[in-house]
Amino acid sequence: MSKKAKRQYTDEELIRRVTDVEEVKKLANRRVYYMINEWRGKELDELWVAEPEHQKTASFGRNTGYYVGMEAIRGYYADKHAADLGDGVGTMNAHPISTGLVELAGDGKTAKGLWYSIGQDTTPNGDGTALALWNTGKVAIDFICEGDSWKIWHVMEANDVVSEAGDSYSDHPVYLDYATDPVAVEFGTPTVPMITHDATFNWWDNYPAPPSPYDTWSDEISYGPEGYPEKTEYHFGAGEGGNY
Amino acid sequence: MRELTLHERIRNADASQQVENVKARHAYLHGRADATGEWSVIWSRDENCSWAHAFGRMRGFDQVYHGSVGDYDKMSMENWLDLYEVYPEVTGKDPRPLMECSVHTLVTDVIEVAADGKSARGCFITPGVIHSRLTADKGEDGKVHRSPKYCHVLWERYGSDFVCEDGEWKYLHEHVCPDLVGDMDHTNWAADEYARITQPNPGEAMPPTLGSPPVTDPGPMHMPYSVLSAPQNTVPWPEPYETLDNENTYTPFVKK
Repeated sequence: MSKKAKRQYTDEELIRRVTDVEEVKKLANRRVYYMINEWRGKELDELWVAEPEHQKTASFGRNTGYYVGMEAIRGYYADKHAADLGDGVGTMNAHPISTGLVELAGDGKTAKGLWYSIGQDTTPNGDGTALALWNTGKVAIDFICEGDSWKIWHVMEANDVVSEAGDSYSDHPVYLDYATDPVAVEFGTPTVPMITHDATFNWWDNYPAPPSPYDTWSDEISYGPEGYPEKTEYHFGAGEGGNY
Repeated sequence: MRELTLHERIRNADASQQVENVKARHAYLHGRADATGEWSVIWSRDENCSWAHAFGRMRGFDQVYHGSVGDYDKMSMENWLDLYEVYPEVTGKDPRPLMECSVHTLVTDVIEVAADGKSARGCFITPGVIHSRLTADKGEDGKVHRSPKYCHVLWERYGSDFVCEDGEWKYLHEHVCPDLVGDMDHTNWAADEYARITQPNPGEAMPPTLGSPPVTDPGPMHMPYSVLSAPQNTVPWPEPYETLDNENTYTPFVKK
């Protein structure tokens, strides 16, 4: 949003915006606790969008693509996970978030946020042992206001580092094998399979990018697949000044 | 401190959130080593701006820009030249984010906005990570070789001052206080430091930052953990304050 177009707010409007930003932050934080408690189905029911037109375009993404629509998201994120989880014994997953950057739209109807998580995933191996992984990456979320409540619309978790606890990250191959990478394997076959973030090149792809101030929603800024930047920006179609 | 009006309280509540965003935007820009982006977007050009680390304090936008953008870019370009020898897939890619992904995650902030609404001060802790997949270095044979990928943990504290310029919040002062760094999940900073200093001929400690640019105020200003050092309160949390002055700043003013 250019300075020229920046809105001016009354005190009443401004305090509403301040509290909306705090509500959005709490919503993102609550989602972390739902995940820790393994309440994924409940999370989708209580924290995510409920209006049909928003449910159609809701998405959950990782490095290897996006599940789109609440039905597909539920199939992977809640149902498949619950089946893998079993009785939950030996499981502990926590992706606490920090470094929050929240931009509320000028019109106050949507918001975008970016956080970083240094988290862990601990899952039983089935033989009495368990696999404990460090898992770091960005967590990008789009929010939309339904009635008086803020809801999660799109989530993108872009993983940077996965490393077994107590093991040396440096001793493992540089290149990721998507066929064996635990994050990629767990993600299965999403609605839109694609490499969204290739951490081989650190943050060169700048995805998901930090949100910029904006006035009103457009799909081009979405953290869902409709907002993914054209790949031609990065390769032979980069054009003058591209890639930098 | 005088009692603020409702209007001033609302203005400052919004300002506190804006300052959180500036600080976080710094973290994400720095994670891509996008120093040009950081200093062109979120920094004041004021003659009083400053950036400090263990090595000392740079003062004034020109000196800060030279150290934090020019010298920093130079390191990333030199790194890219080495990478290109052993990882040709870096062809055509911005050298800066390929240097490393330095993610200074932010927690435990205490932010105070001045009663006059013109400045804000904050202290933060980062229990962050620094990682890079494609890495290279020159061997004893003088040739460039691939070296292992890495993920370090880095803990630092920050003391940050911000100013509002034409309705936009900008960085004015940054004071970085490194506390510990080492391989993620493989570091015992106390044992490592003890082992280092009890050797017959102790080597140099791991440098707490990349490079050591020209400074106006020489360091050391805050050193990483040592078994020989007491706790350092280098960037104490800000107290409520009326206006940015030499009693309320992370960098004393010299031209005011």
